[in-house]
Amino acid sequence: MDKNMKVLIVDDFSVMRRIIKNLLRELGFSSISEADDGKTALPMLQQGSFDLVISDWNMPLMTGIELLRAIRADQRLQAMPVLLVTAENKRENIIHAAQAGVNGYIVKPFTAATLNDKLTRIFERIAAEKAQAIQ
Amino acid sequence: MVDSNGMQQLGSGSEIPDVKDILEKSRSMVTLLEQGQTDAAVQLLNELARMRERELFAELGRLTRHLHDALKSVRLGDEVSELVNEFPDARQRLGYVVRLTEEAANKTLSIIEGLIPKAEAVSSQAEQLLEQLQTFESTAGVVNSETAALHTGLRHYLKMQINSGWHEALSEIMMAQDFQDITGQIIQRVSLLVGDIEMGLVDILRKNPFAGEESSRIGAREQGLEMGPAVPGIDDADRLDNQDDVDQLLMEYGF
Repeated sequence: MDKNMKVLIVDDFSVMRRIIKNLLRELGFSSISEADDGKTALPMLQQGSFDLVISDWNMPLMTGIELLRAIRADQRLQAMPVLLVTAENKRENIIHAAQAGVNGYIVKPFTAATLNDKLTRIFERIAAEKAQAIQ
Repeated sequence: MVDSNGMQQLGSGSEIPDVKDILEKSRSMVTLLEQGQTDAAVQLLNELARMRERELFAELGRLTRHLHDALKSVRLGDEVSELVNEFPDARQRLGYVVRLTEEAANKTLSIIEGLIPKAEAVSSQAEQLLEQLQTFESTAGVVNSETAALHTGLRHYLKMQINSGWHEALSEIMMAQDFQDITGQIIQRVSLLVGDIEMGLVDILRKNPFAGEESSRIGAREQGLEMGPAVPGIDDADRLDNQDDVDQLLMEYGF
């Protein structure tokens, strides 16, 4: 996992953005940006060269699942890894996220180890898919 | 009039259509049908239906008048007005709770963010010093019993600093601040509900004291996926309790 990658944290609660940012820093990430909702995040993603999105689900204006769908519908962004970190623990929500093409799903409250584990898996999987595509 | 369910049917004596009239119309209808005059028969059938409608409308009118009188007698309008005035206050209080917890959590995070590098520095400096002390001891050897006791004390202190667990504890305090996100979301949801009820009641007051259609949207949520953290004991249905269950479900979808 490249620790120099650019990460965008999307959450309407400043406290949660701060917690995730601190966790990422401890894991060795240094290029971290923040957005307070999907509507702010989408233009940032379209303009910037982000490598990973970590988003909440329940946000005003544009929710995490809407952001995920917008990313998958955007030709330049569709391959962007998206990790949802959310308090939504209903079966229905998780299935919707999986079908919309989420790369990882973490339910709050979570631990630093869970975040590290899911991030590692996301990039292992992407690497494996790339290797398969080359073969 | 009592129907098959034993319920008192709507309609009092004065509104019941003339039975003779109904019988007459029905007989004529049958005769017309036997003669093959379908159009005329249908016309009669429609007339019979209209008679029933008139009865229903008269009943509705009477019910409305009763309801209006009942509402006037309990002065519901005044009570609802008073209640509606309480709502903005309730929402403000809820908003204040969210703001206070956010401030408290951010304050805690600021302190932790300041302490974590210090805890790291203390532990890494202690490691360096312990290494230096051990090198010194192995080259210079123990000088006398007094310095030997000092060396033992120093080693003990440095090891304590290295294994203090401060960093882990601070991380845990940081993670615990996520309560603000969960409680904040729940409070926001309740606040939205209070706002919906407020709007519904305002509608009732503004338009008509018995505007049933308007009030039916009170508490109605937007279609689709419901959002917000689960409140134990209230939202237990079809929720996954932990990350392992979530992972298990995602595995079924190829994760």
